[in-house]
Amino acid sequence: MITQTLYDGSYQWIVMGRDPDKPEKIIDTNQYMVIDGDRTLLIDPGGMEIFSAVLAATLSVSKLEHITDIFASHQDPDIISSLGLWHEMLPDINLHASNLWEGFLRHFSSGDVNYVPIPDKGGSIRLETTELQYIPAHYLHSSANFNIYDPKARILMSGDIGAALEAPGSPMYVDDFDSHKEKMQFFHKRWMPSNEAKKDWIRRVRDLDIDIMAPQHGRLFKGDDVKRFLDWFEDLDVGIAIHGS
Amino acid sequence: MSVDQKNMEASARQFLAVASVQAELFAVKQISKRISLSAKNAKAIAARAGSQAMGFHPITDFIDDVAINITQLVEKINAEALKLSSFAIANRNRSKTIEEMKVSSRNMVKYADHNGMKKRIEELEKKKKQFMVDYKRKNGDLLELLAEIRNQLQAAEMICTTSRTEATRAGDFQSNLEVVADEVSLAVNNIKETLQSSKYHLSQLSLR
Repeated sequence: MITQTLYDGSYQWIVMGRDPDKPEKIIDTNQYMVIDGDRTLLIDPGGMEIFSAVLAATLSVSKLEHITDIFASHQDPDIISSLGLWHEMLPDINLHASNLWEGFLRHFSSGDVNYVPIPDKGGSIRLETTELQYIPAHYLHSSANFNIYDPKARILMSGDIGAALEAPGSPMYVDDFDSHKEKMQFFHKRWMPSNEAKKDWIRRVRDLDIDIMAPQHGRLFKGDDVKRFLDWFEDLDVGIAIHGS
Repeated sequence: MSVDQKNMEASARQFLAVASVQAELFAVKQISKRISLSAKNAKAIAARAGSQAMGFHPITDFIDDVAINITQLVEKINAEALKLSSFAIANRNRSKTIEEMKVSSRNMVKYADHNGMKKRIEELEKKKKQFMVDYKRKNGDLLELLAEIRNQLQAAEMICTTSRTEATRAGDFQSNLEVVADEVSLAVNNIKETLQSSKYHLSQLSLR
């Protein structure tokens, strides 16, 4: 699994992905971690099938005992079905996720994981020196859904927003936005259910100072491509399954 | 197949065996309800037979008691089996975690936290050993409860014999009471057969 540093200041943001050993039939995912002193936050650590690869990648940059927190943007198995394994390995780990998903996500572990519920309006998580914000992204696509925003590193981890279905081994960043649109189009039109939710999210996200937008699948957006994505997404009609197009 | 994969398969066998025992005991419970109904039926026949079936009254109470005892034991076994099942699932998760951690260890680069990982694997292995001890004990408790049901069945068999003797003194009601005795006897045999299967499944739970 490839690890790449996204931000290297007094703490670090790292992306893990493009696992060459990933079982063929499961969707490729990006996992993120924020290492801040003795606290490491794993963001959408992925499914059971890639647990050992994510663990190996994590421990190449963080100590095991420093992995204190996991954030799940929503409830999907490719986001967090590895929870039971992380919890078995680290019984004191905190899981941060929507309060709506608590009773559901506990099914992925033995049920007694330390769950830190996030209210619909969002909130924040304080690590050792930095504080990250939970940005509501409800109905994009999950009914209770959050992004993570780091105002200092200017990174928005956007969950499934901005996701693209890519060939194995594709580059980490979008290098040609126009050709990338095609890889995102069906995913967003079909998976995102609400134009209203989409517009509300875009309005709020436009106010954030973002250098990198980091989705859970596919390539990351950097610099002007973040704005290009927002403009493209704004014009896209989503929720197509209900009108059959 | 690695040792941990074998352990995981053993864990999967364990909770499947527990689930099978639970299903079988549910059947036992249904049969014991039938015994209870037969006892009530016998009581009604004995009442109609009056003095001819005087000896049958205490027998019907006894049959009812046996049915109640079996039902209670089955509920107790079911509760214990459920705990054991959760226990086996937890162990399977632990085995899976250990297996995945070992895979991860092999793939870890030089500068990774090998010590932290090694320490945690050892701790989990230790927990697993303790699990084996606890599991064996709980499995033994379940076998003892099954033995208690067998004792109840022996008592029921004796009652069936006594019932047939008493039926011969019931005049016109002899055949009715013999039918009740036959029903109880059949139910007892059904339970015995089911318990044989449960015993087999519980033997699958022993740790190898």
